[in-house]
Amino acid sequence: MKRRISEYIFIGLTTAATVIVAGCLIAILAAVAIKGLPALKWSMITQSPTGGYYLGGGGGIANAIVGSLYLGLGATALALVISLPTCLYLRVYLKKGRCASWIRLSLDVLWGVPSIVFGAFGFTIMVLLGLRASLLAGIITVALFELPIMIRAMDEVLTMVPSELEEAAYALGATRFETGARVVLRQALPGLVTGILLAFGRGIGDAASVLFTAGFTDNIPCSLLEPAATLPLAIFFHLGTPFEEVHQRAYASALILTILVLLASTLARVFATRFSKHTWR
Amino acid sequence: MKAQIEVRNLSLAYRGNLALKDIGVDIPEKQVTAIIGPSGCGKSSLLRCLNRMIDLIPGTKVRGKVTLDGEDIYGSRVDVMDLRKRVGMICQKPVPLPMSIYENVAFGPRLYGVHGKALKHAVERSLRSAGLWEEVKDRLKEPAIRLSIGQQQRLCLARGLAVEPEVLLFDEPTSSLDPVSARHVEQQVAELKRDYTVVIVTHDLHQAKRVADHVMFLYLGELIENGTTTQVFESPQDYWTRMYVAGAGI
Amino acid sequence: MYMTAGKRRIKDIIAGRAMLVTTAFSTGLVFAIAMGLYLRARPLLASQPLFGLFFGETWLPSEGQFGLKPFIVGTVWVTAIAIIIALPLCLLTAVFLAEYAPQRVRSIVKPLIDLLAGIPSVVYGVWGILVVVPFIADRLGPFAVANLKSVPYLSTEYSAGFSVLAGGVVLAIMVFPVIISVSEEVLRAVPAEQREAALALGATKFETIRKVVIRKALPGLLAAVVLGVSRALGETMAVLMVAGNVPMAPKSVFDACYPLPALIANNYGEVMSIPMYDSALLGSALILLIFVLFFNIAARTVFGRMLREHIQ
Repeated sequence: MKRRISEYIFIGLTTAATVIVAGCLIAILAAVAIKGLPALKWSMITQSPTGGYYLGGGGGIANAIVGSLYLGLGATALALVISLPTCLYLRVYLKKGRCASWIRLSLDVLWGVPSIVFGAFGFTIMVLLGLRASLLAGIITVALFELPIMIRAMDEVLTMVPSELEEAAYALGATRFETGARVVLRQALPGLVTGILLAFGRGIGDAASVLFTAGFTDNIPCSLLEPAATLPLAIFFHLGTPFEEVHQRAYASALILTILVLLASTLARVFATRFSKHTWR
Repeated sequence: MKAQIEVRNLSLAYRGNLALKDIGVDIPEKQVTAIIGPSGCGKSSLLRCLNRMIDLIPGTKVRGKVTLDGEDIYGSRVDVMDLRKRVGMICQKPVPLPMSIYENVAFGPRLYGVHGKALKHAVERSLRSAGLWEEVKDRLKEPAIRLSIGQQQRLCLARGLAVEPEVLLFDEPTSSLDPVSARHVEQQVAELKRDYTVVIVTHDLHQAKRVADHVMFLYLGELIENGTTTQVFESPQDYWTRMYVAGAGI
Repeated sequence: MYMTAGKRRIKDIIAGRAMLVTTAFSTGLVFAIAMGLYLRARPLLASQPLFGLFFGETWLPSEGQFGLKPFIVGTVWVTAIAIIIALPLCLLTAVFLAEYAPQRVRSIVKPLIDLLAGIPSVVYGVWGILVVVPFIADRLGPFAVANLKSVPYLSTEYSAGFSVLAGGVVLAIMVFPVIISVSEEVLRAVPAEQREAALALGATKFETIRKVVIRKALPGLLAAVVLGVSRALGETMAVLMVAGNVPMAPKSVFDACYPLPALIANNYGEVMSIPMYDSALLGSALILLIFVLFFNIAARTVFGRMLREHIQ
């Protein structure tokens, strides 16, 4: 009897813990929505800040939305150019050797590096290259930050590609590159898109890496060398002012950012499950 | 009868253990040669030595000589990719590539720069010789995985044929198929010897009897007996061969 | 058959080389980061003893005093609170997901936890300011002032809400996904036969989990926690927004604190004007990186190996 009671208590505890954890997500989303929705106006999305904006004047955060999208797209593209060949090399050329496992350890460790450290390192690079805080510097830093995230997601997908597929291509006389590019990548395509979207979501959401590198401006950047505003920093700076109206806008901006990020991760999920008509097993 | 492939003193080591011991055999042109033997005897390894797919398994070491039309395929100047084009291989389980039926067959020829009308013809010709054309001609754009498993295996055959090989290697091509599709694939194999040299690994003795002109019996990595199908099945010389073809579990 | 496919072969070789270059880049990046930070921090390390840097109490950049102790202590406090809150919740959740939850529940809860990982840290910060900070200022703080006078680490005179506790709560939620997903994976990796063996002896599921599953999975669970710790150490924006940022070592969870990442983030704007300031901040980044690397490598090698030997 006592044993049965302790069983029930344990089930109760684990269930309660799960409810609390899931509840935290809902609490966060609810708080951001409740505070953000009333403050969200069309002009927030379509206009850049006008004079006196940070004192409660007119305008919006179009500069930060566009800046974040530029930065996210640029950084994701740059990260993709490096991570895709890296993952392909690991999968098709190195396979499961000792060398590959050392490389994977190093990449796993890179994955754990905090974004503020990427920010500091990005700043160092920026100074080294003689750049100012700009869209370009931000893109480079965020790309480095996204790199391990993207590599890990892609590597996981590529290792799941059955080796029989590779062999089938080799048996037709394909080279390693042809096998990798035309068969392995094709098989893994939906998963690769998922990885790209995940990295994009993390990239546009991160503030610490762009804090010193992308700068901040009220204008929409017209060239790579101009500074760019970003949503996370816009939220941060809005909250730094003493005015309640401006705080309201921070909540609205947080809502916009959350929606963007959730959109990316939902799309990622959809890609992972659908769009796999050629994939077997 | 001309031998297209000559195997001489072929040994294969896998992580220090000998998987094949001193194999010497001639594989005749435009005939079906079956490799039989209990599982784990090195049948598949021998087959993979013939198009150097064995290179893909880390830890393997090949000694000896295999010649194709007189040229040593383990020579230093051999282009492995080109060798594999000439010696095609169809595996145990059908492995459709992640693309449409048409693209699956076109994959090989595309690698070698075939395109346009010539590619279309190559695809149709290969699908016809694999006995699949009539079933798929209206659904070439569909993903290959929608085909039944038997159709998939014939698709893999068509894909192998499309690169115009001279030799075809089959590694237990019917073992993962249902009896009806297995029979279908088997018939196709028998017809192929008009144009190709065929080597087939099988654990099914009846299948070997039905399709093969020549039979090699492998046991524990050694070539025990080798001759025409009638010789090996009707009057086996070796004790182990006698046991095996009589159906005793060895 | 002699080299007819020359062009394709050359393409293969060139592509291989190019891929090798990107692989080398990605692999070397973590070393490059450590090296870059070290080179920039060197002027400070050369001019001051390492000991003074780590244990110096005063942070007065304008006078050349760069004592990092308050920040290191702040980081340790916030991380410790976060792990104390997160650990039981995460382990229980992982056990529920791995052992009890029906497939349908799992397939709903797991994506929710993944979503949690995707929420930007600024949004966590906003939530902290909206919910956690006021709750501490209006409810927990006054309660502690009234009732917890003599309890060490919990006593306080007054709390504005921006505190170690607020940082810890926000951080705890941020490390949920890391700890839960790794622990769950580890628990599920325990072979079914071992569970069945215990169940066949008449053990209840709880007893089986407690005596067999948890024991088998222990190294992996430790690795999960260590990964969570290293995640918490480096988290910047959310903590920066709710921890109060007073450069003094906290004495109670209701005190404000100033973790290392927040120090770096807050002060980088003004580095150029004061000598050595920039060196000091990059040095802090280096210290942070070393902590994080240590925990990460420990989790992935030592515990990882123990885990493999244990389960397989």
